[in-house]
Amino acid sequence: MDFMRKAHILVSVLVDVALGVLLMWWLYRDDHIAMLANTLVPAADRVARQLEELLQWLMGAPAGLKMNRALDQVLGRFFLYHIHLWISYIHLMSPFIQGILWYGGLSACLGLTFALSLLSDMVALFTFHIYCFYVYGARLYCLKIYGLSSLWRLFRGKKWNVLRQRVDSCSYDLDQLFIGMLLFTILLFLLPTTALYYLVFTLLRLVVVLFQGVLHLSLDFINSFPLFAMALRICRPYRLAEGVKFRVLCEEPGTALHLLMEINPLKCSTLVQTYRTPTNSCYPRDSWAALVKKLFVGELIYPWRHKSTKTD
Amino acid sequence: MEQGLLAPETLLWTSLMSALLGYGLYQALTSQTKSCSENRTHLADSQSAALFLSFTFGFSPVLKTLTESVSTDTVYAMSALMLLAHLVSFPYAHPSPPGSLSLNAALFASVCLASRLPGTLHTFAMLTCALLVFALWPCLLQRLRENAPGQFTGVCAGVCVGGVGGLGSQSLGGAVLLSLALVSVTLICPLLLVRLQRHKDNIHGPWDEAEIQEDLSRFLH
Repeated sequence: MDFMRKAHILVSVLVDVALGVLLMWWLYRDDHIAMLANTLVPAADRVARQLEELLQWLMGAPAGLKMNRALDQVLGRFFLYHIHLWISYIHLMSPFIQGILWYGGLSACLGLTFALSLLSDMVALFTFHIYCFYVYGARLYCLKIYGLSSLWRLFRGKKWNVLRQRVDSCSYDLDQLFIGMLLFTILLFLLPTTALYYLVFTLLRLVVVLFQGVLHLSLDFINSFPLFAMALRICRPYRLAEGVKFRVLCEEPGTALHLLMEINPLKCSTLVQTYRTPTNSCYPRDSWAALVKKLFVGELIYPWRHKSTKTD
Repeated sequence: MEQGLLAPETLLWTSLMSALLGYGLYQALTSQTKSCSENRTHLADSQSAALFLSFTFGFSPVLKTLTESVSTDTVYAMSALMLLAHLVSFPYAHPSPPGSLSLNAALFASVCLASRLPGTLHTFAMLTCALLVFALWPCLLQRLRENAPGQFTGVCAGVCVGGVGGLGSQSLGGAVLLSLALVSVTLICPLLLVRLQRHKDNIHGPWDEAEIQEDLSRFLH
């Protein structure tokens, strides 16, 4: 088993490096790097312009939904200014992008997996503003939901008892009731606007997370696939045994029974299952139900949990 | 105010004047029973009043644009529902600290209606008036009922007549309905209760609790 593991690691790394060198050769031939760099800045520009259009659409009664005009304008202008800052940042960085890509491409000689993880990180960097928007929208929405639930309890005349972790009735003062009522009405009528912004930005963030997840999964697959064992199974099946088969050679009543023993090679599926190396991969942190609940309440979602930090 | 018949400043000054009057009356009625710790409550009361007024004034612009995008019918339906909830959940037994749900429902309805008015000062005036009517008037009424029951009936009748008259200036059918409802609740239902007492019938049967009817003194000998 030790031998298999060592052999597998060696073969994996070799194949990885070979694929990486292939990728490098493809990148540096025909000056692909410069082409990539030249298309990157306009692509970022286009993404930013589409985001601006989306915000303009949100600011003016999208899909026939009725939004509070004043709050709409405030939020829309805030996010537009943010995008403007982001565009200036991109334009500032544009002379350096080609150099960065060149050096990044060099690192592909360390393996295809390295290049893939680098790509994933770059995607995260370039969609940083979407992440920012998502965090702003989620925080606002979470605050609003929290305030609304607390004030709804005030509406009914009850209070959350922290000591007993339950809802108890409570006799409020007149001024507490009045101010709580005002705040409740305001929060309630401003809810559709905030909810819409939160929804839009959460969807965008989920798209980015999905893309990164696909990259990670393919990385995981490349890392853990037992290439050596597969090669062994194809070329020398007698090295991996699942069991033995006996075949009767001659069966005569006078002489001894002659049997031929053949080794039963492993089936491919069992092979993959047994020799798959456990990698330091990322698993989704929550189940679907917990994810939906978190989305509804407005908690921030940290989608990936690393296997090494299981103790938290 | 919506039809421009009443200027908001007039309403504002009227409500403030009546608030002061009511407060004076309240203090006059209480001072017969206990006279200590009045200075502290004066300060606390003025603090609360300042808090109410400042918050309402500060939030009036926000409140005014709150229901802009909601249709008028929805607003009227919501206010009607909330006022009904206020009537249903009002603590009729001891209205002196007004119940949470009833007060909140009434304030919610008044905020809904106030956001339909054409100006910020209108909203502020209406909210002050609503606060007076829903939050402070029951306390005064309770104090009146405790200390001066004779005037209490007179004030109640005056309020009823005022309500019917006010509704009558807007729509006559509503005024008729309101007077009918008031008369039936105040006079006819208790009359029925009293008159039907003699038709009350108690049926006895094996489901009653056992009552010992024998003379137990023979066990004492």
